[in-house]
Amino acid sequence: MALLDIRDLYLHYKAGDRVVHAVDGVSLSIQERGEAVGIVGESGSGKTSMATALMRMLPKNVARFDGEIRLNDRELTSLSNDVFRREIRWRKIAMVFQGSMNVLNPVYRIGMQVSEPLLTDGTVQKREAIKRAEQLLERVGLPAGIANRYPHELSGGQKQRVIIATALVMNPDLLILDEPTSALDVSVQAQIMNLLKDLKEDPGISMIFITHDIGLASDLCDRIAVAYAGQHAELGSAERVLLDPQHPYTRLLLRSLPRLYASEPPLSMPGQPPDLMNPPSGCRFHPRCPFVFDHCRDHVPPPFPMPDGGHSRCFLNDRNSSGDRFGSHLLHASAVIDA
Amino acid sequence: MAIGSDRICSTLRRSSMHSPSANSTAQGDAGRFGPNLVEVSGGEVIFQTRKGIFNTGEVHALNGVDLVIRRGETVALVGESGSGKTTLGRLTLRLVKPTSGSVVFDGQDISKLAESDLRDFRKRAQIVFQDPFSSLNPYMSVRELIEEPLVIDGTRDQTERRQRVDSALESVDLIPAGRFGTKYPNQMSGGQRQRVGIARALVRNPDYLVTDEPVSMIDASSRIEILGLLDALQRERQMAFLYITHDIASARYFSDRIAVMYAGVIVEEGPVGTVIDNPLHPYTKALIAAIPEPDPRNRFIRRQVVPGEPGTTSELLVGCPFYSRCPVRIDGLCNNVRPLLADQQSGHSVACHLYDVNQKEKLPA
Repeated sequence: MALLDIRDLYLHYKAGDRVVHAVDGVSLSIQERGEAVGIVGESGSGKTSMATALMRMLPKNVARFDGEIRLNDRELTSLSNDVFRREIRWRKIAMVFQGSMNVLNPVYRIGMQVSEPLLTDGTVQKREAIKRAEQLLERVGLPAGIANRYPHELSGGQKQRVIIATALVMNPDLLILDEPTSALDVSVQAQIMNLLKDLKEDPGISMIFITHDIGLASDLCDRIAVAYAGQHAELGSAERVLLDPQHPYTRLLLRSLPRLYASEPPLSMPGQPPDLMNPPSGCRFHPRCPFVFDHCRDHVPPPFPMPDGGHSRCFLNDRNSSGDRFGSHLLHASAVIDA
Repeated sequence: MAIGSDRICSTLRRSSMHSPSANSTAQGDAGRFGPNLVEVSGGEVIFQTRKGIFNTGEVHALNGVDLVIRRGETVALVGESGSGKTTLGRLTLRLVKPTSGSVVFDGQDISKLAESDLRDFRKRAQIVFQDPFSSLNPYMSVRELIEEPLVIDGTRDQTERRQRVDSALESVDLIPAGRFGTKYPNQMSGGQRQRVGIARALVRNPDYLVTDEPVSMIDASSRIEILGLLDALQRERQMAFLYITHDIASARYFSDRIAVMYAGVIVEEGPVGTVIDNPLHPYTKALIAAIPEPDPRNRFIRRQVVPGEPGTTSELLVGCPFYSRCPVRIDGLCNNVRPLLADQQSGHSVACHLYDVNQKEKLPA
């Protein structure tokens, strides 16, 4: 039984008289305890929207929200808001929001803020709650005594550790991290990533790690989903997606990264990012794809399964079709990308 | 795409150090680079801060920095936030005045000139800002935005202004110029806005260009295009170019030399490939080791990290700024004697006592 199973999730927003297709048919599962799945994509690819849908922290202008979200085999989308708040949010699924280290309340001590969910819950005494907070603060690598300090006395990296401790205080099964290091310098980022690796092993927290940086995703994630225009263009094991990417977007994304030690300079990605109010017909990536053929313009590629359990939404990966319909295109595509 | 790939090819030429670029006007011993255009010597900047009503504090943003940028050369300035890289960039543009030290531009010390005597310098040195969303006036059309510097400079001839704006737009690939000129910033993507910012800087034909994190606010897929564009323009016009960034990997492909800053000091400097492949300073080593390159093996390893976080210095620097975090510090020496930048081999210099042959003599008795 999978820990988390998302099927055909849709989340659209109203914007005036138009509709933003922020999440448009996303399926994702987390099989094991302690597995981390990365969602990599540019701004506007729908990564954060999927996370807010999982937390059910939706804005007022939602036009469509449906699909299936199962956590430990319990269907979540059909739960009432009240039940979701009492039983799921923060207790089963917790989230570290982008930039949340800046929302610590400046007039409360750290220990109070970390233990607040326990106190609100009302099942534990204050003394016990503070003790639990202190243990967690130590677990995330903060020095003793930090519980009595105020946010302004902490550095950026320390505040981010506090936020992670706060998310963990109710013992969630799943932790969603939305760009948790984007405001931090690279050396502090490495410290936080080491902490996340530790937490993944012990106590074995499953994570959804949202980032625009595919290199950073490889630092933590066992599987990687590449988001493009509200869909997951490609999904697979970190090994497969990074070393044998199939979808042209993934391939171009990897080629567009400046590498520290590569002999090849980065290649620029052609075209403009997609307009989510008016997503391209057919394949979402077709206006920018160097291997586009007629079929792509008016047919939506389904997620073609990959041997590693992932998928690629590209007709070039349609291996089951009659006699490898697009085989010649695939050869051509590979020749162009690898050249 | 075609434009992008052409420019990327020219970048590849840069990384092979032997072939001078095609339109190089390099002269003298410097090979493909011209004479020094920007020279900072002993640059020190101290900001006064307020603490409460009566007390003031100090932030030592730059603690004695030497930096040279030659004509036709791109220098990348890397470091973490608070390291002073933006202050150093602003110092070379006289957007801040040095507390001590000098800034020489084309033979003239600009650090002591009155603002009224800086008009000529202001035309020759330009900046492209980090945020293309807040650095363009939303009520001005693209044409007005790019024309403004020319109006200020007193270019009266409307036809000339129009031509120069058109050619600036074309040089940043906003083609056709007529169509983009009538747009307003909110009708454009981040990448297009940043092109407007670049056109605005280039319309005065500057000799020196500073870009402060020019692509950090832009969609990842457009970054390489903008960097490639800046790189091509820098070569075509043989500008001296200061590329301020926290992205060391991009510096490798879009600059000639790199300077690594920590706590207001340049700790290492040299040809970009040499420094990245063979970093000498313990801080540079830690910085490079902390960068995650896409590799599925990463998740099975713990990164070697230096403990702590860089802070700002509020006192005069005694000893090495990295002393408190350094894994290989020499107690007694590194906390008492400030290491100075010293050349190790062919232009690769480092400010670290580990590489000092006279290390023992400097140990205080």
